[in-house]
Amino acid sequence: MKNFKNIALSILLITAMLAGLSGCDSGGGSNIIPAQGRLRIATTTSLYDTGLWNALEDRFEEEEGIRLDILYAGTGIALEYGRRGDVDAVAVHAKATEEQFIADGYGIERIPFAYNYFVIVGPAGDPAGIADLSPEEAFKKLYDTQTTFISRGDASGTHTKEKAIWKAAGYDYEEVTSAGSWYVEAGKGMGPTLQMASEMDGYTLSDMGTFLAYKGETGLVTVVDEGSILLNVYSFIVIDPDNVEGADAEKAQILADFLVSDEIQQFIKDYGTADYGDSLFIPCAGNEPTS
Amino acid sequence: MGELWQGIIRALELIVTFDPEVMAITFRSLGISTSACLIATLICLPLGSLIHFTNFKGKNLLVSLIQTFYSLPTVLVGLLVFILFSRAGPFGNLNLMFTPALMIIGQSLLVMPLMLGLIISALVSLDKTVADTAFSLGASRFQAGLLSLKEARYAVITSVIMGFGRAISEVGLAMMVGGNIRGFTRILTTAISLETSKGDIELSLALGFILLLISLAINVILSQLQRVEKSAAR
Amino acid sequence: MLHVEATHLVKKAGEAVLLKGVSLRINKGESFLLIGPTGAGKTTLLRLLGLLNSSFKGELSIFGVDVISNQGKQLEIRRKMAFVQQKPVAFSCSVFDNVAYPLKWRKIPREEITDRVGEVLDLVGMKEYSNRNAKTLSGGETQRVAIARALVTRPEILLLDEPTANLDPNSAGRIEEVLTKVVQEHKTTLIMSTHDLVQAQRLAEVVGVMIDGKLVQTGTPQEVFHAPQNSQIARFIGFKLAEQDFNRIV
Repeated sequence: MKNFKNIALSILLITAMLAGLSGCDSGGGSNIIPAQGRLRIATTTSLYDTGLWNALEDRFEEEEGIRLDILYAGTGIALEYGRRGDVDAVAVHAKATEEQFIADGYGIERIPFAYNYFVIVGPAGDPAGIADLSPEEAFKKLYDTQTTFISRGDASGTHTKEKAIWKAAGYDYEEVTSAGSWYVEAGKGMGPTLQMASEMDGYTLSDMGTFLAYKGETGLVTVVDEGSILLNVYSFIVIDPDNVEGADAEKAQILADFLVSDEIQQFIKDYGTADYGDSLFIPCAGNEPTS
Repeated sequence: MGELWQGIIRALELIVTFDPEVMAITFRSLGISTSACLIATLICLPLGSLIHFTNFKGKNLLVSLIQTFYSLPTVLVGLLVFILFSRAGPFGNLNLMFTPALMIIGQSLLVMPLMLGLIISALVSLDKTVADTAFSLGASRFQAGLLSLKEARYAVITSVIMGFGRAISEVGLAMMVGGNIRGFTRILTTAISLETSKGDIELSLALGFILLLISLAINVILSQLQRVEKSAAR
Repeated sequence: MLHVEATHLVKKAGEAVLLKGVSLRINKGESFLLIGPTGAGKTTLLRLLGLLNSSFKGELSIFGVDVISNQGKQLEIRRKMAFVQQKPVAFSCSVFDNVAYPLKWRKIPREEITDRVGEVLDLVGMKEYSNRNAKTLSGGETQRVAIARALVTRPEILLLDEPTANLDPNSAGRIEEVLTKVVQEHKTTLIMSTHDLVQAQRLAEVVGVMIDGKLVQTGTPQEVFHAPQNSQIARFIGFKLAEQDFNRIV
């Protein structure tokens, strides 16, 4: 009887382990330690929350036969992973930071593959009355009226853009963060930040794609959507294997080529139109859009 | 309250229909934590025995240190493992970052202090006469240690269960060194974290409910085993 | 041939001095019984001689080998001895497995184990209990299993700490029979402590009296009981014998 119990327990354990470990790669690839052969990229939350990457991942894996691992992280962390060589490429949207990244030797080049616009969104009815103002003027009015504004507060591309607008409006960012409790630093991804704005009846800066994806849930509306400063370009950067050990530039380049291919560019353009009535992204095939 | 109820219903739906992604996440969680626990047990049984039966200077200090690490924050251990195994770190060329293998290594490191401390406790509370008797009948240190572990088996099994509990419920380490990659390193706890931050509370509740079921199941099975053992001793 | 030679053993436990310079010699095949009041240090001395305690001062040779300078040989020597505790503890398995353990540890083959265990269980009259869970035994039964466990290895030196103290007269008598038989047949050296002076008279070739950490007199039972060396010993023996007589009458 005792032996039976021991055997039963061992079988239970081994089954649990095998089941678990074989379930590890649910795409049918090799098991627990296959860092070889996998392409790892880090992407911003705003791209991820729209679901675009999930859709692209399946297609890419099928067409190219390369297992793609996507890490969901803010631009700041994504670039750090890139510097450390823990990912092979990054897809972010903070031009100035990206250019510095490349100048420092971590990335090979910027490959813009899609863009949209940032929008300032807020509660329906626009209580602060900033509609039709320019982004810079709108921010000024929010500051003066001390209207609740939710910032990403996480060194993401969106956050970088927000800071740029404050600067263009003539403010020192330090002033803004200490201006009062109306200015909220969420420290979250784009989707969650939008929800927070919705719950607090406040305004926030968002990329169009994520906003549309979350529009139904949040009930927020676009308030300010014009202004050249609102251009939001997503770029793909292959990590430079000459300066960062272990980066798989070869596979990363395949993904880069995939992204700017005609087929995928069309896919990106069509993405979301069925569900949200509008394109979430505009393809730009490697070329920097002007406005 | 309605949200909670919705979560439970959705959980049952997902379980009953064997939703593939949920199943994959569940089995992955189990696999990773079980493996981590197994590794930790294989190391802590002999190590605990060795520490207990050897007298050396600073032994009390060592045991105190081990106990201090019982509830080391998981994000801290996660950070440490991340730094060590990042490509830029000392073990970078093993290329383990963001893989289940690293999660297993990390979780075993996480539960080892707890398991080690509890196993040593179990041996300490064992009647000293047991080891003494063994020695007096010609057992070597190793043989006496093995016997002591067998005699203290309830407490030892409990240590293992507690280690497993800590492993399967942690999220900090899994997130940092696993990366929560869909279809590869996403486990119950990290998935709950993601879905909540994306606002899908219902799905989070559903996954949470499954996690709870697992914990309950394990505890029931093992306390049954303990009960059987106890009555056999009567 | 000398099996045990101890010179000036001193053992401390913190502030207390448990053994204050004990010296003795025990020959091969000899039955040496230790008597003395509680707390005199009998158990301490036995444990030391059984190599269960290695922190002491003084010299100790077993089978002619100095145990302090030959640390590596201790396991080997211990394997030729066996010790039965005052309150023996049974392992959580069957009676058979309990008794088989010392043989398993010495890597004796399976069939031999079965034979030897059966043999020794028979000797102590516990054969029918073979498959019983040892934890369910009474005090006396446990004692017999413990002795069987010690005897199964055919030790050259057998140490027992008050083996019949907790037994009813019947079981006690049984144990004495076993010990006598074993000593006769195998010429085992017996080192035992007891509270029962009459038992000491029956079993001992040499009696050692321990009082307050010192071995104050050794000699044949005749010598010790009829010619105690000092009043302290005399008092102890007198008192003890009176107590035993009293218990017998009552």
